[in-house]
Amino acid sequence: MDSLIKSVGESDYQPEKYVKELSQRCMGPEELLQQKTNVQSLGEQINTMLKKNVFYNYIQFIDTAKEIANLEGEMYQLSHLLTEQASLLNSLASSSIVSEQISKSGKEVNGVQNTEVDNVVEEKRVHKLLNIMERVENCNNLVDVPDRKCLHEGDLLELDPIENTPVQRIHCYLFTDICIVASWLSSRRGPARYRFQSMYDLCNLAVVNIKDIKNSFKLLAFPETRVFQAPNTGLKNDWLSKFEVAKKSQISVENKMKSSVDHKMIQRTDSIQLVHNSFEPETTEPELPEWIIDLADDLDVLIAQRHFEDANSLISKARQYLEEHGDQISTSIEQEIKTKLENRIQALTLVLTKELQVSPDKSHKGGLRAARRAVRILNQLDKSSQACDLFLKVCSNLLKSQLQYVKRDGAMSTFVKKYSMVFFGTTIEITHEFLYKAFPNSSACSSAFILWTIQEVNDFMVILNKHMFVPQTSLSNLSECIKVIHKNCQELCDYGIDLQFQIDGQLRIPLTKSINDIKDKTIEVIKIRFSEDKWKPFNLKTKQQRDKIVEEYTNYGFSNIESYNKGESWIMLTQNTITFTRTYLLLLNDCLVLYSTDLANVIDQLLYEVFAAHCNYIKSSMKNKNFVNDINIITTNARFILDIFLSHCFKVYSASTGNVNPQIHTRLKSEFGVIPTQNITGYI
Amino acid sequence: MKKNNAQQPALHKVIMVGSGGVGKSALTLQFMYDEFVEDYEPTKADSYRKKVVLDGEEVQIDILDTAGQEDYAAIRDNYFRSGEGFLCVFSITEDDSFQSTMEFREQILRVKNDENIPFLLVGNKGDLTDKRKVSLNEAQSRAQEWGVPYVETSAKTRDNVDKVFFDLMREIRARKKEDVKGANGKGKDKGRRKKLKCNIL
Repeated sequence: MDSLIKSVGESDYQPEKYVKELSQRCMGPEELLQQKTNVQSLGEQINTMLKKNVFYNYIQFIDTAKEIANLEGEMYQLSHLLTEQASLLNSLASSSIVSEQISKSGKEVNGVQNTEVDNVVEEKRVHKLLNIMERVENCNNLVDVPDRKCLHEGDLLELDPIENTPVQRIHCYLFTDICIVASWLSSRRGPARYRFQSMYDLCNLAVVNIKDIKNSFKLLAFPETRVFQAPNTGLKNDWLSKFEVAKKSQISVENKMKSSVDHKMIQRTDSIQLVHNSFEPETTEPELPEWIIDLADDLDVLIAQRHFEDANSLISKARQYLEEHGDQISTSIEQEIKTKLENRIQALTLVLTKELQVSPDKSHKGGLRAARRAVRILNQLDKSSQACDLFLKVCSNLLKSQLQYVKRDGAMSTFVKKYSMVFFGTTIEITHEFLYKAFPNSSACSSAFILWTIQEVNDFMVILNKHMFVPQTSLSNLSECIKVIHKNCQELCDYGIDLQFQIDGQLRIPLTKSINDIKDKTIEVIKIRFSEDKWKPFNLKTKQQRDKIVEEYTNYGFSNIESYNKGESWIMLTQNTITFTRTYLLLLNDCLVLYSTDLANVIDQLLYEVFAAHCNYIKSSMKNKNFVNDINIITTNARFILDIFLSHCFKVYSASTGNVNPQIHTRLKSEFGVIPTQNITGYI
Repeated sequence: MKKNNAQQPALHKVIMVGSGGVGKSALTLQFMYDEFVEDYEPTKADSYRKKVVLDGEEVQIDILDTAGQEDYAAIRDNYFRSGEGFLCVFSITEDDSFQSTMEFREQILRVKNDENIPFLLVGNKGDLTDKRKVSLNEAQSRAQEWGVPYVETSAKTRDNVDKVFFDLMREIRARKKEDVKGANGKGKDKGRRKKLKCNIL
């Protein structure tokens, strides 16, 4: 069968030749029939293979099509997002005009520095308008309306509203309050490029998206209807969103004007009403002031325009009013106002919580300061616990993003130092913000905060532990890191938050394990050193070298090291003794840094076992027949270690831990202190 | 503008009104393209045009699908102005949407300044009988009060979808004929309208 496939599949396959060969080769009809069935089955195989291939192709095609559809959807979303952003920016720009106007009308001009900026903006605005007037022939005066601004302009094709056939090319300008349509001039001489055609007031204009004609939209300016076609969908959407933004901001301006007028009227009617009430007690139902009636709408506008503080103060004003005048208003109306007010409070809370919510696409560069406003208002709305939750989430996020910047390469200790510094630095900042700025005098929030810090510090320690407790870490490295962490942690204590217990708790288990590991390792090293020790005085080759050692030990606090000197460069202590004392001192130092009541047992065990191991080896050396001649030097070393070195070590130990009579000292003394001296007397 | 009114089929301008999410766009799309759109995306203002045969006569219908959302309330006037007939849609599963038909009706009457503007009250989502909140009686009595027809539709099952559009076009057509007559014999029309108004009251 394989040979069949091979021969048929060859490029120079010739059916005649193949059949000839076959008929020559085959004997009798049976074999030929056999060959025939072979060929047939091959045909069937190839058939199914072909089908499969076609099927696979289809699947691939379908997959590709799906991918493309997805992509298209994504592109659409993207463009949608972009137009949304554009409209948002626009609304921001236009709303800033609005607030400018209001602040002016409300006689609340914000200081001098703003006026300068205003002047520049104003100049630009006027310049732009004059420019447009120059370009459009027969244009009306555009500058006469204060705060008019050009929001959008562009070329469009006008279509016949009935037949949808192109009529003319036009250029359209959208201003904050009007829309101007101008036709193209055929002869372009001078600055004018368009001829003024018509002007529409935005408040009498409606814009409609035309779904079934590509890229077009309608302007309904009753009774006229004009249809325009934009060059592409993006530009059309631009126009639609620009129109919408313009209309909305215009309406909000009108509302604002109205409400500010209302406010003035209310104040007047209020005072009148008070007088009336005192004179005419028979008026059973005093009329509600208008601002209460418009309360819901005003709040909506304020929330939409993100004047949260104003909304909040209006809410509290309304609450106060309801409280004071509750008995004068009929219950049904009061109920209605209350539910409306409740709804608006909810809406405001929702907006503010959204503001605080952590989302991946929001940047946290603003940090906590950015959250202050929302938190403050939420607090005033009695939503402290919600605000607290969200604020802590923001904090977590901030902490996370700050810690992300700490580089994880390089030496472990530098990383730990930096990491801890960033963590505690940020935490201190957060604590300050939380306890003094965001939630002062709120015990419930404070306890939530403490829980949060504990959680964060635990997470922090988990990460640090991963970095610190890797197999080859030396105790001095560890103690250095832990010292830094403790020091940083101490700074937080000034704010009344002591995290040391948490940190020590997290450190206990891995630290115990490390200490035990180091103990085993050190003992192992001692064993190796003794196996190599020949008990010879240490030859330092030169006098200077020896002086150095003497100086080193004097610095450690040993007073009479010179007495061990012998000859020019010899010292009666063995190299092993010197190394051991050095190692042990280092170990002791690190242990004392780490010393805490939790770890006291483990550390004591380490100090004891290491020392005991060394002494045991000295003991066995004394009994060793090979060292009979060296017994003198062994005793000298043993004495140094047991009399001078041991008591020195535990002087240091006591001074650091405050434990005047450490148990291990007495234990070591009683176990080893006596035996060698007895032996020495015996030998001497 | 070309003066070929004889060639051009008559154009009837229909406006869809009603609260957000009641199915104005769904009705429109079902009528336009025979499809039911499940996903909800608030409309701002979309317009559609279609050639249809109304009682043997070819006409064009221009549908303006408006925004139901409250934030567009203030700019609705300008849209309503251009309409010749209104489909006021509510969802039979949502009482709020039924209540707000009052506001829409008032606004339309105010803008058009005409008590007899072609107008249909449409209760949509008729297929969701198990979620019905607005009874047939309630809706019918309100329609009667206003002197307008009430039809229940389902944009999903296409129930009565064509009917509401065609019924409204018939009313618009009748109104236009009447207006032409009225324009011929001035004054008569006004009197008639006033009379009708009295009837309703």
